Amino acid sequence: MSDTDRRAFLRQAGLVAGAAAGAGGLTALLHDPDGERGKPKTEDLILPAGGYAVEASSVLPVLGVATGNDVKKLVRGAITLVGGIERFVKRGDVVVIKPNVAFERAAALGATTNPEVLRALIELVKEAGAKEIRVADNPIESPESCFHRSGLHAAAIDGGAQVYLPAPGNFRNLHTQGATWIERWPFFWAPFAGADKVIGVAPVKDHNLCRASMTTKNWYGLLGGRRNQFHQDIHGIIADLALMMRPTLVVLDGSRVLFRSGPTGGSLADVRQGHQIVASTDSLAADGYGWHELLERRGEALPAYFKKAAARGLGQPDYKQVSIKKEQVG
Amino acid sequence: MAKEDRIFVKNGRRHYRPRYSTTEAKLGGVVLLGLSTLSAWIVWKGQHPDPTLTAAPPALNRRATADADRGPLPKDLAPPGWQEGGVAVFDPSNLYEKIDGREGYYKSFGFQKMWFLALTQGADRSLDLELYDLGSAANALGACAGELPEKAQPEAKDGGLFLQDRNALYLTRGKLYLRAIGSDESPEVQAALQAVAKGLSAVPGEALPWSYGLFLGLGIGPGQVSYQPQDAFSFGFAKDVHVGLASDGETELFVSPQADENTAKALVDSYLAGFGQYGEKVPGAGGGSWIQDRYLAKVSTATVRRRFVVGVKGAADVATGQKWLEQLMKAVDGLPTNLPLPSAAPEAAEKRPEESYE
Repeated sequence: MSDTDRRAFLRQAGLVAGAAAGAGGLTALLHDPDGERGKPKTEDLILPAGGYAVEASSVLPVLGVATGNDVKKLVRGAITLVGGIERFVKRGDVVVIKPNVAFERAAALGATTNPEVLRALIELVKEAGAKEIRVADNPIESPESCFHRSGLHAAAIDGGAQVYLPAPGNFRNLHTQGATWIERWPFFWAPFAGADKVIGVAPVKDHNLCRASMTTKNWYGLLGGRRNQFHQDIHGIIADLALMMRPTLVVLDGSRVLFRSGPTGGSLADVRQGHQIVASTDSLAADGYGWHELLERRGEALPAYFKKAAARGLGQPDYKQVSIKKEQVG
Repeated sequence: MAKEDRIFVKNGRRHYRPRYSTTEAKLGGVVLLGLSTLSAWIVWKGQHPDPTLTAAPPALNRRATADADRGPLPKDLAPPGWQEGGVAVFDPSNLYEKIDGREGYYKSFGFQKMWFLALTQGADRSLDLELYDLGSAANALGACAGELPEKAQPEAKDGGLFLQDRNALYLTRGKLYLRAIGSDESPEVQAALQAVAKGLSAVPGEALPWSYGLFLGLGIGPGQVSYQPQDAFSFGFAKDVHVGLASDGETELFVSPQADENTAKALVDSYLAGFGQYGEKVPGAGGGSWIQDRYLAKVSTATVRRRFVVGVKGAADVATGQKWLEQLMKAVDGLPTNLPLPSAAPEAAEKRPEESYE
């Protein structure tokens, strides 16, 4: 082989090697095994700093407990005890109300928020001058059926609220700094777009896994994705939920108590009339009250999620340590 | 024909006719009119929907499957005046879609499959049937007993348990457990529950497990007998435990068959250690080990009889507990020697976390 031929050979070999390396590099650059890189880039959501909570009061009680038979008076009474609805909702606010609509059950079976409680709450929020009231939940069962059979759809619509049902386009990844399981997780965002205040209204239920489902567990209904995997660490995920959502107000619906066979229930024999509504700015305190006084599990240790959430400074599990005001109404 | 005669078809390679047919034009007009009418009808119907479409609960028929997938559900279960939705079938991988949060309960009883059927009457009255295949009669009875209302008195008949209470029906047939849930306790719902129970009577039952014979012989009703395949009394080691609640409403008698006496003895030590976590030893008749709960002041014990762990939990005092224990041991002596051991207890997909705090 002559020098010229050798030079030409090396040049060609170099070109081929360069082209091969370039093709390999390009392949690596464009490699997208799960298709994620091909999706349009969206920023993770972050809820407002401090959540939707109102300023803490050194005068008003943390827990308001109304006892009686008239649901409407109970809701109004409990919220009045913690400062009245005007403390929480201002004229022109967009308010999200999150009931527990988890199952296709009639309201009387206690597996879902009492629609009369929701109706009374919407009425109060309207009185405070809210511009828009949105009622939202993401049940795993058919959302339409759950809203319909629980009576919550009718209660919301009759009250003048909008019902937000989950749809694939209504979820976005939410970034929750410090969360163990849901630091970045799909969140039912649509009802929260432009929202000013968030109110949770949850029933008092026995729960097969976490022993009790009340106001803190209620936020589970805002998660998307295959959230059932969190059952492996149910207390951990509830503590994450307390971190994720700092609501304006929580209302613990103790008008009915599903004291066994929860969270689905089914038999009227598993439900007793609680005759109480609790309003609070502290979800853990409200749940602690519900555990002892509504589920009547006074002799039993609190479920572990209380400790996990309290360790993050997210509330006071011992309701006797917070200011509480009780009143008989109706 | 001259090229300049062509009016609409300039391209000579295409089909060319000098005239159009008036018949075709009329037909075209008719088609256009028909389409316009159809469009107008669609728009009008959209603005005036049939109210019956939204009167029934929506999406009850989702996951509806063909009759072939009804499993053991008899055909035509809906009583007159009631409407059947489609049958939905759930297995361990998707049971949570139906009963999110409670699926672990049924999985701890060997869950295999669930058939769901909704019956409706009008817009507001419904009856949900959940038929669980739990793999064995003991599991079905155990799951059923755990969901019966407190102080319920079910009947042991047709090779299973039966209870109709308020808005609900509980029924077992061999490895099957049916829970029917009415939306209310109206006479209509109760009549429908009766009809469903009658419809399911054709499903064959099987003899009740030996533990029912044992506890019924001690005067304990069938509704007070339960079976814990695992984690009995919240003890991780306590598997395959048959429990009967004594007539005083607080003393629990329990029996757990083991492969041999040595295994049973080792387990007895675990039970005593478990009870000991919450209390202290108190003197017992004949030198037996009784533990008194430091919070509840109730006494518990466990001992060996043949190859069975037998015990008493939560008795008011040692004398009461000893009386029940002696009766239980006597009853265990009467059990056949060839009593089969259960197959391995099912692995619960989601165990109840034992963490607690206060």
